[in-house]
Amino acid sequence: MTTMQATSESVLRDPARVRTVNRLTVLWVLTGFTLLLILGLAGLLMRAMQSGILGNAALTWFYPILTLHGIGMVALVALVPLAGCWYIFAQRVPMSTRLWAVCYGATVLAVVLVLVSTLIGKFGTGWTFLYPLPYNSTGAWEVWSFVPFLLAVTIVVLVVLAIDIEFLWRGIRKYGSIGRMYGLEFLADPHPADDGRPRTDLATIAMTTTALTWIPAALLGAVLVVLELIQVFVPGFSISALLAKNLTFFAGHMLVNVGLYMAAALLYVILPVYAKRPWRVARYVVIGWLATTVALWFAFYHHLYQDFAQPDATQVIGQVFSYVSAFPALLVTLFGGVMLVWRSGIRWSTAPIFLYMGMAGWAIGGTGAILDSTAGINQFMHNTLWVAGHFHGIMAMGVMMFFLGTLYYAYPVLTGRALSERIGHAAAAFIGVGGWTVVLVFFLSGVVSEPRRYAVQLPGTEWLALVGMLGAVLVAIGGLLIAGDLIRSVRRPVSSPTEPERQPGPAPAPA
Amino acid sequence: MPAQWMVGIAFVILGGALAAGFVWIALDARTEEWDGVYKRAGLLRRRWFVGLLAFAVVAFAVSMTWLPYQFVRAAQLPGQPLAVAVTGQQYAFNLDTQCLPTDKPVEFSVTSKDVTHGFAIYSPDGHIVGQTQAMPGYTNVLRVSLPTPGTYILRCDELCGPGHPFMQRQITVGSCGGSAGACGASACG
Repeated sequence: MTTMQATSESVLRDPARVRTVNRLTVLWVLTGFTLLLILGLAGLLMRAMQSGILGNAALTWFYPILTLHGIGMVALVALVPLAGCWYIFAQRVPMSTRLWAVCYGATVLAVVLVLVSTLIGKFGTGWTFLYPLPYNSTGAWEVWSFVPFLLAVTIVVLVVLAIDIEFLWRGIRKYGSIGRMYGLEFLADPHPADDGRPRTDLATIAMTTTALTWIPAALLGAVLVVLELIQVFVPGFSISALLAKNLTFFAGHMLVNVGLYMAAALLYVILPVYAKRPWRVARYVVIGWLATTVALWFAFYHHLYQDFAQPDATQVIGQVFSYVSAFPALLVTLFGGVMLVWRSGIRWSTAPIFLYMGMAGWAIGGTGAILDSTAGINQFMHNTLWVAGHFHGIMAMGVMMFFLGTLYYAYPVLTGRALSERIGHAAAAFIGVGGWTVVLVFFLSGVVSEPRRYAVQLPGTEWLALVGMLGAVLVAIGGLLIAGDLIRSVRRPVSSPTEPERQPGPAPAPA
Repeated sequence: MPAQWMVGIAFVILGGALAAGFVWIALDARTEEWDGVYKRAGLLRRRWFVGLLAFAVVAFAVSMTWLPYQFVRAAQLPGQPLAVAVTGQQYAFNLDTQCLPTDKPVEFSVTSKDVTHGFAIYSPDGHIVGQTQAMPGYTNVLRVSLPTPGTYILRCDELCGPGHPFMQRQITVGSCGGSAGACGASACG
């Protein structure tokens, strides 16, 4: 062992650092869960408004709440898996606890800024703030409310960027190069010989992909933010609406995707603990993640299929890479996860139930996404509630299920306080039935051409929003059950059983 | 059958098959077995890959004929189209005609005076039959055929402000009194 490695190991095992890492992680997880609950209730409120049971409230409040719900959930999809990944990598490399604490404080500030923008300023463009709508509100909000919104977006972008850069820097020091973090040596030899240096694992590959795709997206997103801020203070300044839309979706599509891939990294680490099988790096895994890296750069064009002024080539490229991006998900992560579980003798405790539900949500929601990423189909489904169906399938029933699985895995380990399996199973049932009701109603609404982001539904379709709202109520019951159990664990703690399977182990053994 | 229903059926078949697979694996997860799974997983993965690849290639090739862009539509809907200029603004569509023909293509040139709007054409049975975006500074050209006569509704489907759900306009297809554009706003809605 080199001196540098020995120093690194001693830093990782320092009890004071371990306590700080654990506390920071618990703080992130609990904050994330609380925000998830609040933002989920905002979603429920929107469906209630659309169903018509709240009268004219929709006309005033629907769009600010839509914007709050949208930007909040997009940020959560990125930040909550990031928190999980930070914890995983803090076990392996000396990730800075000070930087992570600053990121937490900045995120809290971002939450306040978004609340000010939407609930006080009534900013209501939706999370995509499609240019030039922020400056043309027809009296619904004033331009100042766009500033705190943009600052909040900037904070989220920078938090993910800062941790990605630190991860790359420390990863290169540990593994030797970005190539080794990707596992490129597996391309030449499926069973590379031990060369005395650390070998990558699945979570590292996923996180490396995240970092390499997010860094350019963050930079281009920053260009958009700067241009938009200039127009706030120099009203005569303007930019191309098409350029702005390309920048919005290059960064926005990337942000939700890196959240998904960091969630996959959590799956890679936690599911093997319960399935009691290794999930190893192999050549096809490395190829899959390399393909994902490339595909992510071009798939975003599918958001602009209805902008016929785009070059036709980019529309076709968008469809090609949308299809390409589905292969690694279906062949590497989802197929691999299913095979890990198949005939494993797994005990279906709450954590693996949520993880497994997350894989199903990703696969089924992704099917709706792939259909819609076909330009010829998109002309009929674009901007209908079909879109809400597929991203709630992937994000709410995918990424957030991975998060809940992580919560049920990590919370007892980090705090020593057990969560009730009985309540966990009940919550999973409520969330599963309610969540899929929400999602399937969105899909059905898309089939009947209900536009998305309508405060008032098309005549005769309000009942669909009502059924969706009832699904959201079931999800809320599930969420509140978990919240109640978390509060109970603080007031009347029960020690977590010290099962070996619940111990956070080191990285899975390389192939 | 509207295209949306076919998409819905495809989703039910594909998503339903995946859901059934997940349920089956979950129910078959309790028996501990490693060697058999390990060997079969590799074979299954190869078959899964080949099947997915074949499906994707065929789907991609077929779907290229469905593209809504001019280089495809001009070939599929030949002939001199009726040109219609559309300008979106918060919260109305301005068109230079009120009636559209059933017997020849219609070519909408769509732009916006203020923010980005959606321009979605709803058929009399309530389904979208074509759409594009109305973006300030750009003109998007959408060529469609509207063979079914009746009252169509143009709706904005891109969030454009608090009046977004009310941005719509009726337009009549067919019964145009001999020539397209002949009837006025009062007659055609």
